[in-house]
Amino acid sequence: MKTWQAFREGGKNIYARRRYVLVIYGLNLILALILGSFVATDIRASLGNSAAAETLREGFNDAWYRGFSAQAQGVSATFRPAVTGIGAVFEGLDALLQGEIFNHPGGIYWLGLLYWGMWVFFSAGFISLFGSDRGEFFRDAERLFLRFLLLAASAGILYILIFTVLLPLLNSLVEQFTREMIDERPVFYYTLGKYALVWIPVLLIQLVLDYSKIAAMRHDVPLKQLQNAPLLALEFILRHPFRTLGLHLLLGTIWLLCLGCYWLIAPGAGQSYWITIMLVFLIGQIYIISRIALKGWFLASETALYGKGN
Amino acid sequence: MKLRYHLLLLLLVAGILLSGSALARQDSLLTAVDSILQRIDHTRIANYTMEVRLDVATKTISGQMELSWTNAARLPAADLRFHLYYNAWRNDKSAFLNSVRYHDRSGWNDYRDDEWAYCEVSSMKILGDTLFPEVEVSSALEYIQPNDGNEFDRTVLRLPLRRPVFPGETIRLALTWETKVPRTFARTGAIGDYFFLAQWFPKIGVFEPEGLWNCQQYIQTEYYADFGTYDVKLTVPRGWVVGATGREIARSDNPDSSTTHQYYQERVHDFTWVTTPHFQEFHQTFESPGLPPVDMRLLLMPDHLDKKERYLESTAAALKYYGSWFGPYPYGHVTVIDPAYQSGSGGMEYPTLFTGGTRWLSPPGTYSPESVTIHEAGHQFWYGIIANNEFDHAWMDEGFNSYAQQRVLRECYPPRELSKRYLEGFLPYVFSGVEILSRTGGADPYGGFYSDFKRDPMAVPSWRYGPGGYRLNSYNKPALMLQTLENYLGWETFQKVLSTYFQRWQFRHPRPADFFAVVNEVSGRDMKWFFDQAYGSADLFDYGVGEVKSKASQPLKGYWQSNGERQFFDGSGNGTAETSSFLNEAYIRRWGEAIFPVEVQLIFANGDTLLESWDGRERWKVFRYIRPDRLVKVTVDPDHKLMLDVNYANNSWVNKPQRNAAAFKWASKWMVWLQNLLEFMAFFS
Repeated sequence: MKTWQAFREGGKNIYARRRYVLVIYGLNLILALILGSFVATDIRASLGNSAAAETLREGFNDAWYRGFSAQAQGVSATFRPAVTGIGAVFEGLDALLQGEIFNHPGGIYWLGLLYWGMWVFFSAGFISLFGSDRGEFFRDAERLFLRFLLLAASAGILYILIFTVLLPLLNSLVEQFTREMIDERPVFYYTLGKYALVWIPVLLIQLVLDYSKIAAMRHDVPLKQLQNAPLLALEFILRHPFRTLGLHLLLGTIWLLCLGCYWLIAPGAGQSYWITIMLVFLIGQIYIISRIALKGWFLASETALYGKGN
Repeated sequence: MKLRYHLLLLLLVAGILLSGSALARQDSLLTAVDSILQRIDHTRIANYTMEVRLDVATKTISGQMELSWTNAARLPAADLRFHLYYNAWRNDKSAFLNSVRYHDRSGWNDYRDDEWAYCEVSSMKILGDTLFPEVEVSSALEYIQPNDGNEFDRTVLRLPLRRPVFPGETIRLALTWETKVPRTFARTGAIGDYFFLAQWFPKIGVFEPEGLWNCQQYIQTEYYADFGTYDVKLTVPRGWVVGATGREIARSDNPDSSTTHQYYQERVHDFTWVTTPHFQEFHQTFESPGLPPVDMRLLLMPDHLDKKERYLESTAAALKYYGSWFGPYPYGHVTVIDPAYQSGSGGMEYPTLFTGGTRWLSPPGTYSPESVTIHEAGHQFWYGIIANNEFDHAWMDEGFNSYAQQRVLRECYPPRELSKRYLEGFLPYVFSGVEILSRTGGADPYGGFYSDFKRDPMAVPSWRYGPGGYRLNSYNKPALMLQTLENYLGWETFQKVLSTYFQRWQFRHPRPADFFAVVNEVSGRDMKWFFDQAYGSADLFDYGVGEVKSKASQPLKGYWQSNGERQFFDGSGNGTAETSSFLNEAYIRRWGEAIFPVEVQLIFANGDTLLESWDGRERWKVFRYIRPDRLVKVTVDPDHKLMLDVNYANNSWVNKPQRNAAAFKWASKWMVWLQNLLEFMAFFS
């Protein structure tokens, strides 16, 4: 199967299984709602009967925020005005690029781990659905979960090594190379190069991990021989380097397009009325759904490519 | 002139010996000294003629200097004291590297062996004239530590004199010295082929009118020096661009591929210079009705060429508004330095020269370079011309300037919005609609108050401020204090206060009491109560609305006079007309220790608005009204005059708060952030 065919088939498959996308989105929303309710309660309590609420509703009230942030505890301490609009994405993306995505206060850290584990489970369900004619999402997810968890954890060790060994090493090297530079531009390019060196292996590991999971499902690789799954994946990728990388690139481009669209329409802080506040929230939710669907699309397309190409 | 002073002093001494009572002797002596001192030109106390050569390979400066110094105090100077600032980085035991502000040495620990620094005087002699014989004094030099007794600190050099310098006398010295330039730290030093040289030469301290040296060790503050004339020849590699205090009056190429630039400036109290082959030079003349023209010279680094107009516009804005509010800029020229990336030399002021600061990517909403440029250009007034003692009273320039900077920003630019930088700070993003505080001067004044309130009072000498205290007390709190004062006195009065203060103290060294005196004099009010609290104490200002009640009035109960007769009402409402009114009570609280008169605005449901005054002295005050409508809004200090109030959010009460919508709005945005974050975390699944 060619890249474009896999891409299209993946799209069709994820659309056909959209209810599972909505299930994952629902879980994402519930988790966010639980913590969000704490933040809302704290903001509400902090405002009391103050007229500051009015300016905060209409836009932002920095004087209130300075006091709130100085006294906020727990997850509320992570509240900041930069979460508005596209900032909601930039804040996370910046942390992701620098390998600091899990550097968050306890509640969010554990929630993140839970969500990560959930996605390992769901990816098993998706791959099973997309890879076999008689797949059953939750039953297969349960059946494959342990194997997928081991594969993800193994990849996780490599990710950790990249961000705790390679990135600091590159930081140090770039710092040495650029220490005497008094023009910001070459330092920026060095920095871009540094992140390219970090993220190329990260993306390759992700590619191998995805196909390892698909291989583990396709060949029903037993737990004791799970080490064969990455080998099968590597073999597949090396046999079809342009197709696998092309598909990754194509879907990556779709993600960038989604991000760009959200950037264009993501409203700032100017909503005053319940209806507009809800509308903005809705736009944010559509973006989240698109991200989840896209992640499913990745898995569906890769499964399609592997299934026919192998 | 010098001979005449000397003879006069001898006559005085003789007069003292021959006169009658000791008191009369003292009075006559002081009167005579004062008459001598009145004739001294305070803009020519410390005059330097220097010839220096920069060796870029070894990062050293070798220099020769002739210094003439006049004793403008009422007592003789038995010694001379010099700052050798670069010795702050001579060793790791220096007072600077062990100060509260720099003790963790963040940034310094990464420095390499060849990046340490020193400043050493290799020879010094007193130049002979009619008052002093020519004598070599190098062997008499000693390092002293007047502040902390730290024997490893060599930032103050003392020359004991065999013969004191009497009031009004001038002594001339010749000295040679060598300075090893550090990697840029605390806004001076070298990085690559960019040399920013501030506090780089042996600089004489200030002999205060009381006859004591103010020549403090370099600890955590900025600087203090007397006015004088600087005539400096700077030799640098040919082709390198030089920016310096003053105007370039001569330039000559030398046979050894170097060029000597001669800079000259009168009536300044420091000399700073910068050189690199990378600068591109631009000129523009500042012109504004009623103000003298100023040649603005801009030295830009190549990665910031697109910031040229923004630098020049913001410099002009500062010259215009500071000039019209306080007094005209007197020098006719100013050099704006765009500091090199990673040089750490940005955002600093020197006479007739200052450094701005920006980034390669810096859209207009970031206010970079505008904000820092206005601030540092403003320092030409508050620091350059009004030259307070920054060791002890850093707030007198930083606070004044932060306050004035915010005024200019409000005049010239739209409200500031939140901006953040991503990817290690390279990529900026401005959050449209998220306005952040800009009215109050300094960075993060409220944050500073919350985290650092109850630090030292401003009155504590700046070099002794505890952790977090320097920024709060030098920038944020004084800016808020001055804004509060403006709001209290009114801009018209306060502008007169500041312009009077500026005119009266230009080219001199005012102290806090001098400013307070001008405030009282010009405003016609005794503001001691305010300064005692805001300046003399660390007490907090915090007024707020406590409880607010609006309840339907109960019909009368008990004995009441009705139609001239005592009548009993049983509370059932029969015979009374009280049913449609409300008893409204608003309790206003003083949560903080500090006291300030405030206004209280009360708004009723029918739109009626009352404005009450409260002297703010008691801990609380209740405002009671029986009116046909309920209270719907109460605000203490509705115009936010008391900018020192540490929590303005508690200054208001509304009966129908918008907290649900506000909380949902922002919590929902936070949720979208969290949902995105979870998806990013799931990337690794």
